[in-house]
Amino acid sequence: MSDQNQNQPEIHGVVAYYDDVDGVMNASRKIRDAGYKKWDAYTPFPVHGIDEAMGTKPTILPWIVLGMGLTGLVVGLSLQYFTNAVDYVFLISGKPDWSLPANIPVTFEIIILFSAYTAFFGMLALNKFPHLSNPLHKLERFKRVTNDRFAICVEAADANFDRARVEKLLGVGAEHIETCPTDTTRAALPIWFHGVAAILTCASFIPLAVAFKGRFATSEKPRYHVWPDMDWQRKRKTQTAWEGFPDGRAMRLPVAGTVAEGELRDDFELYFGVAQGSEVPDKIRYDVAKFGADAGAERPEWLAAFPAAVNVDEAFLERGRQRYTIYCSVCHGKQGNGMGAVAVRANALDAAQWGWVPPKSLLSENAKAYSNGELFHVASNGISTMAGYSGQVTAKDRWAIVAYVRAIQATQGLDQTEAPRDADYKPVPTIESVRVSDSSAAGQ
Amino acid sequence: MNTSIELPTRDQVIVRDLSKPATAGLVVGLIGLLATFGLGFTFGDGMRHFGHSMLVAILFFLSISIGALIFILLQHVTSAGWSVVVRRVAEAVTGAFPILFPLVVLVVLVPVFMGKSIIYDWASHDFVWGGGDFTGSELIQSKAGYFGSVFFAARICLYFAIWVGLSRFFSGQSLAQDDDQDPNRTLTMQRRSGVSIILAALATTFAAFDLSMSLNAEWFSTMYGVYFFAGCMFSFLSVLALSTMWLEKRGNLKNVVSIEHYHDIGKLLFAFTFFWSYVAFSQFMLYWYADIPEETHWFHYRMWGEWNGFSVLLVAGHFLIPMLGLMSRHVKRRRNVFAAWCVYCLVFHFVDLYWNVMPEMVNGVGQGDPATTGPAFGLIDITAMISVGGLFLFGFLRKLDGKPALAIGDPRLPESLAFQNV
Repeated sequence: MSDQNQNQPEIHGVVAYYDDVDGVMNASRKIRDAGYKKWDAYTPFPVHGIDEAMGTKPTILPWIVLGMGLTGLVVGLSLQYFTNAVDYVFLISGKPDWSLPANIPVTFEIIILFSAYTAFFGMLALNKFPHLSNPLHKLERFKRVTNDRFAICVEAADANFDRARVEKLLGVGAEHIETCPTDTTRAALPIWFHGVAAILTCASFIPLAVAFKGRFATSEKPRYHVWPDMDWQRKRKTQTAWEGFPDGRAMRLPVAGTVAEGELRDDFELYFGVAQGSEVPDKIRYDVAKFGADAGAERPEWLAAFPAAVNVDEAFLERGRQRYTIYCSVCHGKQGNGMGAVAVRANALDAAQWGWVPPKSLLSENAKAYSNGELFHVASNGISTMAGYSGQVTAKDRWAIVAYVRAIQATQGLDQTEAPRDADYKPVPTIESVRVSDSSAAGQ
Repeated sequence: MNTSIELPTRDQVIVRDLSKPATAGLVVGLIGLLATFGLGFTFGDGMRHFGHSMLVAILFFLSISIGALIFILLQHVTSAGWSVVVRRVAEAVTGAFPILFPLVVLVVLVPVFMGKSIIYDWASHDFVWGGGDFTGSELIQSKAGYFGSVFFAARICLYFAIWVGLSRFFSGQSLAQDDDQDPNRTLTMQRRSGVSIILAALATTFAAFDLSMSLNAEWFSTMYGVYFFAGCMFSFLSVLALSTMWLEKRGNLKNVVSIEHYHDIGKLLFAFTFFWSYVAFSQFMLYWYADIPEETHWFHYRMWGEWNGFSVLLVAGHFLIPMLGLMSRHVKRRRNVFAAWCVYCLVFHFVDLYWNVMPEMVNGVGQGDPATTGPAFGLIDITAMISVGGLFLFGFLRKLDGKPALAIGDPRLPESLAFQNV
C-alpha cells in the first residue's frame, strides 16, 4: 500500500456537527434527498427514526441468517443420518437405525449454532469490520460524538460529491462544519506484527500435528507420566501377586470360618434346596450330571417340599407372582409357556441359527417332574445357557417363585398352543394348587 | 427528543356504549349454555361429551385470561415502557375471571362432588378402587390423597382467588392512576409484581395439572404446567392484537397505538409459537426416549390410530406454519395480515386444547378403544365455544366499558406512545 497516491482525493469528506437530534435528522433528510450514497450519521445513542431519515435500506442479514439456519437444518439431519444409518450402523434392541425425534435436539442446536454465528459475523462483515482506523477519529471535535454531539460525514469518494454543495446542505442548523483530511499515516501493520502473527499461526499447528502423529504413528516408548506419585502409588492392587506374603498373593484371605454379615447359610433346605448336611450342588457339576457323558451319576438329595423357613400362604404366592413377572416372565412368559417377549423376538429373528437356546416351557411334563429343590437350584444357579438369579433374587423370593411356578403348573396344564397370550392375563393360582403339585412332586 | 408527542385526553380514549354488546354476550352465552346442555343429553353418554366440550371451551377462554394476567405482571416486573398503551386491554381481559368461575363450579366441580366421572375418571369411586365394571387403578389409588373432591374444590377456588385478586389489584391501581396520575402507583405495582408473578405461575401450573392433566390421572408430566402456560400466552397475544385493532377501529385508540406496538406483540407471538413447540416437543421427547409403558400411553393413543392425523396437524399447524408465517417483519407490520395470523393462532390454540382433552373422553370409564375412536368434532363443540365465548365477552366488555382504553395516568405513557422498533 503506497502512502501517497496522486489519484486519491486529498480530503476524506465534509463533517458537520449538530447540537440536537432534530438538527441531525433534518440534515440527514436533505443529504438523503440529494442522492448521496457514501455518507453516515454519528450519534452518541441510538436515534429512533434515523433509518428512515437517512434512507437506509433494511439489512439483508435476516435472509442470510435464514439461509444459514436452513443449512444448519440440512447439515444437522444429514450428519446424524450419515453417522447413524450409513457410516456406523449399530443395532440396539431392534430400534430403527435412524429416528427423527432423537435427531431434533441436535438439529435444533446446529441450527442455532449456524444462525448465531452467521448473525454475529454477518453483522460484523456487513458493517465492514474489522476496520482498524477511520480518518474521522483524527478530528478533535469528532470525539464529542460519543458524548453530546451529533455528526454527519459525507465522503469525498461519493460520485456526486461537490464540496460547496455538501457544505450548503449540511450547514443549516449545524453548530460547526469542517473538512476531514485523508488519513496519511502509514496504513500497513508494523513489521513485528507480521512476524508474531506468522509464529503464532505456525505454533497453533503444533498440537494438531502432534495429535495427527499420535493417531497414525506407533511408539515403543512408555507413555509419559505427568503425576508419577499418582500413577505409582505405594500400595498393592486387588487380585495381584506379591512375594511379600508367603502365599504370593497381595490380598489376604478371610480367617477360616469367617462368615460375612448376612451370609450365613447353615439352613441347607432354604439356601440350597437339599436335605441338611448333604452335598451342596453347584451349576457345573449339576449340568454335567444332567447333560454330560456320565449322565445318571449320583444326584443331590433334592428337597421335595418347601423348606421349613418359608411360610407358603397367599401373600407368599403373590410375592412369587411379582418376582416371577419381573425376573422370569421376559423369557418363560407370563403363563410359563416359554413364550416370553424375548423368546417371541428371538423366534422372529430366527435366532437359533446363532446358537440361541429357546427358554423351556415350565408347563411341560418334564418341568413338572422337577422336585421343588431342583427347581430352586435352577432358579438360583441356572441351567445350560440360563444364568442363575441368586444375585438378584433373595433365597426366600426364589422359593416364592418356585411356589408360583408350582401354582401355574397346576392351574395351567392346558394345551400350551391354545393358552391365551394377552398381556394382562393373570393366572389365578391358589394355595390348594400349590399343595396339590407339592404332593404330586413329592410322590415321584 | 420527542417534543412532538401529544398525550391523548381522557375524553378521546374513553370507551363508551359497550353495555349493549356486553349484554348480548351474556344472553348468547346463557342461551348457548342451555343449548349445549340440551345437545349433551342427546348423546346419551351420561353428559360425558358435554363435560369434555365445555372443558375445552372453558380452558380456551381461561387460558386467554391467564395469559392476560401474566402479561400484565410481566410488564410491571420488567418495568416495560412500550406496552403501556395496550396494557389496559389486557387488564380488561382479566375481567373474565369472575365470570369463568361459576362456569367452572357448574361444569367441573358439581360432577366431581356428585362422584360421577362425567369429566374426571378419578371422581368415580369404582374406577379408582374397583367395583362395578372396574378393577380399580393402583396408580390412582397411590394419589388418592390428592384427588379428593373437597381438596380439589379448595384448590380450584384458591386458583381463582389468586387470579381474581391479582387482576383486581393491578387493574384497580391502573384505573386509580388514570384519575390521580400518581407515579407511586407504578412503583407499588412494580414492587408487588415479583411475588404476584410467582403466585400466578403456581396457580396456572397446578390448574393445568388439576383441570386438564388429571383427565388421565394415571399419567403425569411435570412439564404440563409450562406447556399450558405457553398456550396461554400464545392465545392471549393473539387476542391482545385483535382487541387493540378493534379498539383502534372504534376510535378509542386512534393515533395512540402504532404499527410498532403490533410489531412487538407479533414478535412475542412468534416467540411463544417457538416456546410452545419447544416445551411440547421436550415433553414428548422425554417420554418417547424413556419409553416406559405407564408414561407413554398418553402419547400412544394420540399417535396411533385415529388421533394420529390430529397430532400431525398440530405439529404442522401450531409450529411449522405459524413459525414460517410470523417470521417476517412485514407480516407483523401489516394490520390485516397480522390480524389474519392472530385468528389462525387462536384456531390452533383450540386444536391444541381439543387434542389434550378430547382423547380422554373415550379413554376413560367404560368407553371405547381410543385406537379406533377418533375425534368426534360436532355441533356441541361449537355451541360450547359460543357459550363460554359469549360469557367471556361479557366479562371483558363490562370491564372495558366507561373507562379509558389506555392507562392515561401511567408516567411511561409518553415513552410508549413514541415507541419504535429499531
